[in-house]
Amino acid sequence: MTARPLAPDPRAATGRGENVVFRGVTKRFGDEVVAVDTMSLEIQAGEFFTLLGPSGSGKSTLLNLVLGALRPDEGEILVGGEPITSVPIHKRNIGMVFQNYALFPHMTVFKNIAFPLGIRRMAKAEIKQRVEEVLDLVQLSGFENRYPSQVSGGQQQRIATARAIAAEPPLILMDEPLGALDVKLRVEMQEQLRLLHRSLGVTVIYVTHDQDEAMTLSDRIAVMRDGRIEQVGTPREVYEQPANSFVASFLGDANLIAARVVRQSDDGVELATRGEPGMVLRVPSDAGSMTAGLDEDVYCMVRPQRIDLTSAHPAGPGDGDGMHNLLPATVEAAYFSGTEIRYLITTDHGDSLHAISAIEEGREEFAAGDGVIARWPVEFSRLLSS
Amino acid sequence: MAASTAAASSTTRRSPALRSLTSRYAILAWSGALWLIVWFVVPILWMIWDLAASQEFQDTLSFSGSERTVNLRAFRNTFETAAIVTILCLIAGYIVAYFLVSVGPRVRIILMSLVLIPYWVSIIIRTYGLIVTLGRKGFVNETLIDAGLIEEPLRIMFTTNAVYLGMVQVLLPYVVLTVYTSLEAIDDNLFTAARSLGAGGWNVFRKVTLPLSLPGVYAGGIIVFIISLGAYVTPALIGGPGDIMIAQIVWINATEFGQFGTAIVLVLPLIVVTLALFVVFNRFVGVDRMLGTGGTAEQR
Ligand SMILES: Nc1ncnc2c1ncn2[C@@H]1O[C@H](COP(=O)(O)OP(=O)(O)O)[C@@H](O)[C@H]1O
Ligand SMILES: [Mg+2]
Repeated sequence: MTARPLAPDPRAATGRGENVVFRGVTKRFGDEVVAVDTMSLEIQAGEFFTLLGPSGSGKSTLLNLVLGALRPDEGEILVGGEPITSVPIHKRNIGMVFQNYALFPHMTVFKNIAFPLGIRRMAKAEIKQRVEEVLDLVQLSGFENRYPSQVSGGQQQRIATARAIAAEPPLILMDEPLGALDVKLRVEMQEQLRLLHRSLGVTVIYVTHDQDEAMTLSDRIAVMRDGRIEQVGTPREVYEQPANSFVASFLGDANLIAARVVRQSDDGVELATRGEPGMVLRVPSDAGSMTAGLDEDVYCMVRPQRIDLTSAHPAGPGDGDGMHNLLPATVEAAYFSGTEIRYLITTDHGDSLHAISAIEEGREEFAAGDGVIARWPVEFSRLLSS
Repeated sequence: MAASTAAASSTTRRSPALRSLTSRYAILAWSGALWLIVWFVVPILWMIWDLAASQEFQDTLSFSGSERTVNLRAFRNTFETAAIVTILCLIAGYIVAYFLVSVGPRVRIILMSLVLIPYWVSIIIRTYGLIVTLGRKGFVNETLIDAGLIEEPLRIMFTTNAVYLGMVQVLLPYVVLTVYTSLEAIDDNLFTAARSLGAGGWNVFRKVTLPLSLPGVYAGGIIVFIISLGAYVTPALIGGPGDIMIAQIVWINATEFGQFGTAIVLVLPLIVVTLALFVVFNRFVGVDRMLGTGGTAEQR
């Protein structure tokens, strides 16, 4: 399936989306489980907003509260400024794409997509035209008379999307819509979804546990854990400035070096690593949502891509230019992956770290057992609560 | 287009059937078939062979015997009763099954037992139970008279309506179970999806629930219809004088008059209709679905 440019939707008008506001929303199951815990959040009109979190963190529950399949125990949800918690599900006009697509197995593709239009008593000719439009939009023209069981998984996904957008809802919810597809198809579909969102101008709330997918697709991401939001921000913000160690490790690889605050000044915080010999690490003063007190236990976080390995320096570590953190270490293993080498190293004070270096002309490469200096710019260090 | 869809669906349905012929469960199926051949097919063919030359066989076959009108009436009565009982069972059974899937698990177990326990009780006992409840001095009449609503006991027993009531009572579980299985198998997300697309309760039922439960409806309907065709006990015990079913005539001919030739001719149409229903049903729904192993109807 080669991607061709999307036909512009003639009805697409920017600003057709509506904003979604959560005010102290709580949903419990039984006495034990708090699936969504006093959640407050504002999603902008027209935004592609992703709920990202591990399985069981309450993403689907939150989506079902917006959809109307569940009712919150506390709090209110507003769509376009209107409270919706007492509006029945079939009056909400919110599009939903289910993880298993939930296509009607006894209806053709045409009938599936025409379903919301028929319910709205649209004229036959108009229905036909609209179904053709959305099928064109998801590049499935000519599939009208197939049954869902007669098309591939990727095509089912697009039919489900077409059905969800057919009645032009201002808000579309997607619960792991690409979760059942293989990796190659998933990447292709991500691209399609992004373009579709742009051409429709609607608000999308997207659920995934795949951090790459979240970063590729989203305007903003809310990282969830145990029914709570750990951090909300653009993909860049949550990746580069994670609010805590959970967010840091959930979004890509993160090295967390346990340390203790030894000095605070205007141009940064100085940390001493635990273990012997204690090494000094510097962190910029604005690099953390937390304000660490003296002697407090913290983590210094650095992404593996930021760590540069060099041969052990004759002058020894610790005497950097003040712009870099340096840790002497030994290479434990080196994994070659085509475009880069991933190193597993152990610092002299006993931390295991990952370092990733691109394969480039003139760049030093190391093997297990080599002594190295791990070196990264101070500005890429983050201070996280432990 | 419709034709090509039907062709495509029948091929997709046939291949698993072919595969199952060679599976390790096939031996079970074949031993069942062997049992039927030895004790059912062979005796019937043998009887036809043996009796085909007899006078009564010829008479009955050509409708020239003295019992012609009685037999014809019994046939009409049999098919009419079977049809009415089937429709009543489908309506009542669907409602019960729909209720069963919509209640919580605890209530469901209780209600399911109420449906199933009578199913394991002898049909004769259940039919006598009806007489106790609905007879002249039965529970219902006594209560209504005591309440002053009626003066004379209602004549419920020993009428055609009593036959319908008795047979529905006996056959209801088949429909409840087949429809329940079909309803249970529908993915709950389909209902949520339909509602999110704007469908209210009635539209969800009409466009999603009902069509997806049709395999269970067909299965239950056919089972009830086939069993009703052979009904004997209920009409005999609580029917009126006009409620003679073909099975009763077959019985009388075989045991009291010793006219096996007549009996076998009268039985044949029932067997043919039963087999025909099975074939038609298998074409459109599939016997695997009828037995409840199917799940949702994928295409129709
Ligand atoms: N219908 C339900 N009944 C009981 N517990 C539920 C139900 N749905 C979800 N939960 C619980 O709520 C929590 C959040 O679930 P969910 O929203 O499905 O998480 P996610 O979609 O992030 O994987 C989990 O602990 C889950 O077990
Ligand atoms: Mg989920």
